[in-house]
Amino acid sequence: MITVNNKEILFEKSICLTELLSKLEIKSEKGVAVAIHNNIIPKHQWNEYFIKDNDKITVIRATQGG
Amino acid sequence: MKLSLTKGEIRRYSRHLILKNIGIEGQLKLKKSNVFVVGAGGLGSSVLTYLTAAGVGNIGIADYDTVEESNLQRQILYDVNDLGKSKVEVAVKKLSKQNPLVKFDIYNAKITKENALDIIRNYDIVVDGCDNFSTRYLINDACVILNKIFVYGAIFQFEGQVSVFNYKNGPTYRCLYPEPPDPTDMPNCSEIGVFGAIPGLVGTIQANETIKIITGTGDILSGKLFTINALNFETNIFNINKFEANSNIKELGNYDYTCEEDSTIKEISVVELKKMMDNNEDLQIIDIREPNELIISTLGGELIPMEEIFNNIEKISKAKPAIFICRNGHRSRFVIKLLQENYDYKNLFNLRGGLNDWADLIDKSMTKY
Repeated sequence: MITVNNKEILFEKSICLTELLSKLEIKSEKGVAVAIHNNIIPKHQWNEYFIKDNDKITVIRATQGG
Repeated sequence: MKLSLTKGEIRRYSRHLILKNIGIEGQLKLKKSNVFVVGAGGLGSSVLTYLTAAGVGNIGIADYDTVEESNLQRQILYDVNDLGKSKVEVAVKKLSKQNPLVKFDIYNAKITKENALDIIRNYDIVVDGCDNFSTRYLINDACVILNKIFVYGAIFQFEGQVSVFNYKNGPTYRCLYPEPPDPTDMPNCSEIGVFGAIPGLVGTIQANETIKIITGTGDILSGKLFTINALNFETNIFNINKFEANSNIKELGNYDYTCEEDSTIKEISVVELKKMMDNNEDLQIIDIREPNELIISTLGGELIPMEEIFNNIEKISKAKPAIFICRNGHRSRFVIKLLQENYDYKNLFNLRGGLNDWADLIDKSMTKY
């Protein structure tokens, strides 16, 4: 089991973060940060990070309000 | 000249002076400090209030807006007597009453590529109270170029984010978000709403970090992103990695991230729509706002909230003009763009200026919001 923004998702196989985002239908990768547990994974490493069972994933969006 | 505190300052700041980590030394650092606050809106109101009260010696404030009634729900520096007045002018007047010892610099202007470096050069710390990505990336880059600390804050409906960037060679805004979202993915407060106390909460945390940085107290939120969700009180602190290239900015770039005018989107004015309705022309009005907005104003027609549009394609006529409406014509324009990109529609029109234009020009009894 992995969680994405606190929602439990069945862990099927280890895919990279880029693939996970497209599976989650996060259309644009721009303005998005992704954290595994409490560490934000830099965008240039999204292809290299393969999710593991029990990963707690947080998708954070750039917001512009003020 | 050695800076010292006057008797009045000692009385005013006594609760700081007896605090172990601040003391006279910390208060003198505050007195000597120069802070630039970009934006005197929701975040700015709370940042400015606390920085002024704390005795920051010199505060620059930039904003080019005037006070609107819908600001009063969260922008606590303003009241009904200020409507229509320049935010920076009103802000400085009120803040000077709170603490006459603070010196203010007023910039009643938009921060642009042309003026950013010249202004920011004069300050030690820049606090982010702006409401758009263009300005955020611009001030981030200017801070990197000039080696200034950037206290970031941003809000979205019930959520807030805070971080301190470019602190002692730490990560920058671009290490967190290398580039802004696509323009079509960028709702702002006036489009999607904001929970009134959220900017207060986030701005207070920014002021707190700023005061800590100046006085050298505690752990600074550098290399970390703090997030808070007011609905469930979930808070997180995420670690941000530094990406060296983002600290090697030598000059400002292009910061125009706003939507390009899409000439394929046809528009009509409220006057034209009124004429069509008076002539009983065969048309369809599609209101893409949320149901709770209908209580404020409506022109009738079909309600299909923006999020539901793709589930309701069969309701949108292809045979007669379909007029899309929202509060001010921004969201409806975006919906038409999506529909034209994904379906073969040629009969869609955006109501320019939306219901607020209708209220101004056609029906004065309609409530604007």
